[in-house]
Amino acid sequence: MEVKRTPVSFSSLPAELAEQIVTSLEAREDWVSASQVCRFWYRVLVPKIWRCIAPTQSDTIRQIVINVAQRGFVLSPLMNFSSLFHLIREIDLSRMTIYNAEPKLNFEKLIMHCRELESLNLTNCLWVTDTIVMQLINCTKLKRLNLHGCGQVTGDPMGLLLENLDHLEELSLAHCTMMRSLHPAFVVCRAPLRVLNLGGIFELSDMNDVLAAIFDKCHATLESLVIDWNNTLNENPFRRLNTLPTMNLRELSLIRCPRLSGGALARLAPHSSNLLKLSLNGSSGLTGANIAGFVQSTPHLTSLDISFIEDITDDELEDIATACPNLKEVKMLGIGTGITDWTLLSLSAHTTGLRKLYMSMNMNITPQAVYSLVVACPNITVLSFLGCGQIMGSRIQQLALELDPTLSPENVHFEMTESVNWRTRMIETLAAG
Amino acid sequence: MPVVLQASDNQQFTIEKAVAERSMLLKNMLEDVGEAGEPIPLPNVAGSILKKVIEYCEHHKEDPVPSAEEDKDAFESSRRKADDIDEWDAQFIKVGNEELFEIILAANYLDIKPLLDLGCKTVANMIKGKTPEQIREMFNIENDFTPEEEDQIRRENEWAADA
Repeated sequence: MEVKRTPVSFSSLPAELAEQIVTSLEAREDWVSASQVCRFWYRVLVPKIWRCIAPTQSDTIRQIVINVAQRGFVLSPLMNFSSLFHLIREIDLSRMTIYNAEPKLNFEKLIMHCRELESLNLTNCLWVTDTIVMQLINCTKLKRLNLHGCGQVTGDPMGLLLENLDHLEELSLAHCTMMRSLHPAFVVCRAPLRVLNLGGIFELSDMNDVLAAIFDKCHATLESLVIDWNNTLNENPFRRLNTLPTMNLRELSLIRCPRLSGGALARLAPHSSNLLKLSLNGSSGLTGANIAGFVQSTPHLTSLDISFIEDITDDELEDIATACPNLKEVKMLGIGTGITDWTLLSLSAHTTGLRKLYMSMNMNITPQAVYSLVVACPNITVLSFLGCGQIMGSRIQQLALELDPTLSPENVHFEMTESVNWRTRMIETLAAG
Repeated sequence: MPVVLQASDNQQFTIEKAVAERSMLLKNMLEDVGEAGEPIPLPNVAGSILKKVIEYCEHHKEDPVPSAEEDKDAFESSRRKADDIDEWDAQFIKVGNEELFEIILAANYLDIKPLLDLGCKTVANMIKGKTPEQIREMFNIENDFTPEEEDQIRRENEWAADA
């Protein structure tokens, strides 16, 4: 018996299926075109179109705002224009091609309307001023703010923001080189900061007080902390940690902080049992013993950068490898003469999940140990031995491939210079020193 | 033990259990009722469409059932690449519009997520690069905007095209 059916068409699909089809369109042009098909598609797609503004052309932002200004008064029977601004959740201007462009007046206007904004990325927008940053106080739902490299912004407006934006979880002020003082801002902080980047603010004079305030105000939420390239940071702010409840740190980067000493790490240790990523590259006040001691409390660590920490020994590296069996990426460039093949054998024995190893400028490594490592760690994709005098590129690659024919040369990168010059130069330097 | 499915037009299909279990609906049913051997009625699916769906399940009966985590990855990658469709699947889904929508409906009803995704991706691919008028024509969709609204929407969105 043939059951009589009405023919199926797009319009007869249940709403959730039609929505699934329409939202599986990927390109913005297609959303725009499809949103003009009928009311239903408009309702599904307009929030998607307006959710994220990420122009790549310098003039697009101006165009948006001109549109806004011209038509802000139009009340549409579908959706009035100001309500479209409430659909904006993300603005990303980091890909605009002209950093010094002059959209600032218009941008201020735009920001005033974006009350629902959750994420704002102004990386390298050199035109951003304190006045503009001050406007962000109206974006009370802001969760992520990236002011990386906004070279005009000072510390002045930050207090207002940190006191009032009580959803702000991620903040980057990295390379905001006009910032001189941030202590007053962080003392009043009520934002539940989870991710904080204060790297490369060279002129910041009160970093120790700032960090103490951060620990006081944000210890319950802080997971990722970056304070790279700071000449004043010392052990003092870390003393606070003795009296604070345990933090849940996941990522810690203290690259090139030369005044940092072992005491800081010792005080961080009780708060670091969930730490995944640790970068101490070039913080020359630290020793191998400090680091080996610290990582005893970070069993989950997957990424470690201890490059240019001088005079780490094989024994200390063995302690590190034993304590952190989950390491996937290790950088230890140029750490001196204490490191020999024994270090590679320790890694081969304990960190077999290793994927990337950067060991350039370590003179005592021989090819034999590298083969053992390649065999023991099947997931290795990057090996870097630039300027390791005893290692010849072609020979090591050939032997690695003999040991494991499944490796393809494209997947294993042996960064190498022809070793003779390097070797001579290094030996000369050592002799001179 | 084979499973018997009965379509809306009373056509019956006898298939392997492994094939039937590509459908989460049938898998749960079979777990609940055990192996009674009675035909399972599927009043929402016509015989011709059920035949097509079974063809898909036969071909994919060896596919691993995605775990929760892979499911998430698969979801994200399917969002990333609408045109990333397997060659067999691409041939399989080359059908008329009406049949395509019927397959989507059946995949939704029978809860066969990969087939549903395939259907949705296929429709999305048809929409790609078309003007609103072309889309309406292709799927026979009525334009329910007033001319003023249409004009306003066009202007609202004109910046978005070059963003």
